[in-house]
Amino acid sequence: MGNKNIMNIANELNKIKEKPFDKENDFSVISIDEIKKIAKLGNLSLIDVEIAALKKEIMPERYQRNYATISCSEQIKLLQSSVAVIGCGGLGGNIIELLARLGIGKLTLVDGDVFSENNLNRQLLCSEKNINRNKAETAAERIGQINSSIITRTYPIFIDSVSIHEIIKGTDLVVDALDNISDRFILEKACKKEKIPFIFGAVEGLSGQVSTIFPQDKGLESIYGPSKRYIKKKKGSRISVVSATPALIASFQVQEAIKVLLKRGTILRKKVLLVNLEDLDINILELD
Amino acid sequence: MIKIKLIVPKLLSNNQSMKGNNHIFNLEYKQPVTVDQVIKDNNINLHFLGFMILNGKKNVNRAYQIEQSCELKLFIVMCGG
Repeated sequence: MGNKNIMNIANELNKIKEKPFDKENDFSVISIDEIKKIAKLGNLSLIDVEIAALKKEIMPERYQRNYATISCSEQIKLLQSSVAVIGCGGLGGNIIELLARLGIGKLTLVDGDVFSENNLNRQLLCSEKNINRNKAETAAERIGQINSSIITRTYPIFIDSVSIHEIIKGTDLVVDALDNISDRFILEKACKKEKIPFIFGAVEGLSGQVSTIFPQDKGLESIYGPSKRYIKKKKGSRISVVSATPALIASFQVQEAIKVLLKRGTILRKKVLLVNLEDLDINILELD
Repeated sequence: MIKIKLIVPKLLSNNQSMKGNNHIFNLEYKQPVTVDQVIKDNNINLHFLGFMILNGKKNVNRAYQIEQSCELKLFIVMCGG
């Protein structure tokens, strides 16, 4: 980018900064259209413009309601972050939706499965129109509708011990939204090797559990016992899961992800959160 | 006498005809007993057994010896996504 372009962009942002504040705000905001205009002017990505604006304490309007909970510098950090979501079904759909709205800059979406009618009861991204469509590709389309600034990488495949390394390499964080235990162990092993933190989540009926696992932690073994106990089942699990459970557990996972990325708050490291919505039973257990 | 309130999710219970999501068994043992023995005595389905929580706080394994009256709550292993 030439100096003239940099000047133009700086001028455009300064003009926005000089505009009188909206009654609701005590800071300047920039709209999606303005971001697109400046990006075109400077041949930049939308995220580059959002980051440049945030550096001048101009809040992209889409993140206006994040402010006070997430500062300008934290919003920049989220925009610069790369997160892989492994599984785009019940948990994954909710996780992807929330991460996109929060403004995670790069999202890697992985799922080899297609939507079927029995996903409609709980999987946010499943609609009557997209039955038989790949879940990861549908998720990427959804992100484009919510937040076109986000850069997505889509893998319409089921993970294995080889492919998973290429998928997660270079990401800052991995969020587990898988539907079986043996694949979770494959994912955890890869995360440990690539030194990437991993947010575990699982659901069953009206119950769910969440934990945050760092590469040096014992991790899934302290939740499930030895990995050799688990053999991957053929597709067609008949476990019961209703809509509220993945939505709730995904929310916990996303908030864990945000805390890890922003290095703030209390995380569920070496702990597991167990929730039962039927009995309103909530436990946080220490893990070995 | 050691009194144990055993709370078992229906999926783990030996009596699927019982109503409710959790089945509660009030047990009495004359002497200390391992969690493993309690599980065996009540025909718990081990295939789906996950966490075992003592008095709502402590995560115990099957070798743990119960020496005082307590509540033992079992959880199913969760794998869905």
